[in-house]
Amino acid sequence: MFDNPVFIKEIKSKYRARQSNLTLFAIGSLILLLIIWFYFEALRYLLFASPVITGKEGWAWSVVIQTMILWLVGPALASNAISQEREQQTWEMLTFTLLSPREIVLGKLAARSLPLLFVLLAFFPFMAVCLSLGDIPFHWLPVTYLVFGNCSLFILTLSLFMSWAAGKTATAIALSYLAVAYLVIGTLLIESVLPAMARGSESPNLWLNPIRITMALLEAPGNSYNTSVLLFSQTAFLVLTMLMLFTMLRRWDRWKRD
Amino acid sequence: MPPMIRIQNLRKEYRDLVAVKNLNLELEPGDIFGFIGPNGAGKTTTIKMLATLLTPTYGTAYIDGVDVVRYPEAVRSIVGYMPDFFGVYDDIKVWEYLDFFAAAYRIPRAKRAQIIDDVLTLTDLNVKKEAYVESLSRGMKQRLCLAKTLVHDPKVLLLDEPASGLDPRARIEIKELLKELRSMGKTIIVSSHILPELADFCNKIGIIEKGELIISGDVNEIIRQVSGHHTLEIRILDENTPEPSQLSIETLASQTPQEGGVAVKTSAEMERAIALLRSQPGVDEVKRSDGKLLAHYVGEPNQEWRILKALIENDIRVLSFGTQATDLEDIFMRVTKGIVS
Ligand SMILES: Nc1ncnc2c1ncn2[C@@H]1O[C@H](COP(=O)(O)OP(=O)(O)OP(=O)(O)O)[C@@H](O)[C@H]1O
Ligand SMILES: [Mg+2]
Repeated sequence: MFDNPVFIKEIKSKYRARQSNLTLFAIGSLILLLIIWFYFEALRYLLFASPVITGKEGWAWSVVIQTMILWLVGPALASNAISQEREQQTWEMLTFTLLSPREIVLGKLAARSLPLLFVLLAFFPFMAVCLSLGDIPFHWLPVTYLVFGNCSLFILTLSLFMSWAAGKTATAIALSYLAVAYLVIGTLLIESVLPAMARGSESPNLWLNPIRITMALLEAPGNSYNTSVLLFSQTAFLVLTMLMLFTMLRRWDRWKRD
Repeated sequence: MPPMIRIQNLRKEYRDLVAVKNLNLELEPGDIFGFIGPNGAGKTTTIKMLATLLTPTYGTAYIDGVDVVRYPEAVRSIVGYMPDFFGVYDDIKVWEYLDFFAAAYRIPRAKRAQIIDDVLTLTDLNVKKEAYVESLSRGMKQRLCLAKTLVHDPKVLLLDEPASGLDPRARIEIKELLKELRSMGKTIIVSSHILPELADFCNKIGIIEKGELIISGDVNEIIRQVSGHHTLEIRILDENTPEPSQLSIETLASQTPQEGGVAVKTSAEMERAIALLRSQPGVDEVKRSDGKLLAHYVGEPNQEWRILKALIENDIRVLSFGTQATDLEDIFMRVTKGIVS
């Protein structure tokens, strides 16, 4: 990936702060202080002789917070990736180079995923502490992170796809959030009119809901019902991700024909 | 020598509009081809098809023997393309911008630093190497874009109005740069809607209008054909022509509408001059415009002095006598009138 010119360029232009060293230092320290403070407070609640929250609760909270960040911030990260190049008239010159569509898509995807990676990393030590304190089976850790990773990939690909398919960045952002809104609210609405609800069971439609997925993660990812929820949703996301990537790469130069 | 660029029956249709009509053209290595035409003539469409960015409806072109429709990848590695409208990545440094494009053309990392220095020197942007792209002036951005077009040392350059929107000084700088590229042996297609802008460094020109290449060939040949017929611009002293010191808005205003059937006060001397000019061999049309006389000259080349002589001998007080600069409009008039073909 570090050979990918698109990745390098994206990193330089997106994440390099242009403020003076002093401002940078101040901002950096502030973020660091915030994280330290969060850790301090959280561990205080967890570790005292009579803890306010248990390890399991701490785990649940951080899973919920991270899920919210993924689904809410994710679409904003990639939905201007391609449309912006068209808007600022750099797209033509980019596609004129020898870079393959795959390099461009993967380079952009990788660069735009870094903020999410940072969030997951920042939470990781806390998750580890909770895991060691609560009576949480160890296999929850890999399952949770696999779901996080897969969902992030799906959200980012979805918004990149919208950015490719829509003419304008504004449209791409709207479409990406509409898709997220469908998963969170739309699936619930549909479920309420489906006969499955009346029978007291769920349809696979609901299993795509991020809230339902988080519940499955927190209840007991090991039990067979929740395993099927997770397996179904994650396979669906992965298939959709692949489908979007495939469509983009195959119909890459649809702009060429006008 | 095989042609460097061979365009065969190239055609592009947008729904019911034919933007480029079966274009044919051959250029030798080292040719600098000036591609001239008014707005909407089809220059950009043609250049984009050559640059593999647009699929022709019909026909194709070969660049260095490679078919642009069938092998776009191979064409891109030997062609440098500069669009008419383009943006730059504002938030990186000048050298990083060039480094990105060098990497995108698969130039090994070890060679890039040298190449970047070379193209920066060529485009005179060395001092801006560490500056952010957004801090460059428009002319500098234009040169930067040209610099990035050169990083992979293309044999062929397709430049779509490289000097549009620049001030005269920046235009001259771009022109100097193009001359340098010519001396490096590149084959260049450069489009413009102004002929004089291209005339002095192109060896071939082509004029396109409504998607059709009306005329193309050696630049001197075309200029010679065209300049055989041109417009003489003559100012004579007459009572209606105020002294320069007396020029004011009112006198200018009272001077104006001369054409289109509006009665114009014409002094006896002016009448005499017009009549005299009309009687001269080689003059086929005389008009008055803005206090000047415009005589369309179709006679022997380099014999225009005879007309001046006739005017002087008839006691017409000539203030100035010259040829109107040949501009594109002028050539168009001729070309479309079929005087040159
Ligand atoms: N994407 C498009 N869809 C429909 N028509 C188009 C498209 N692009 C260009 N045209 C039409 O094709 C014709 C040629 O346009 P082109 O841009 O090639 O002209 P040009 O010679 O480059 O003009 P200019 O000097 O203004 O740049 C014009 O009539 C234009 O309206
Ligand atoms: Mg154009």
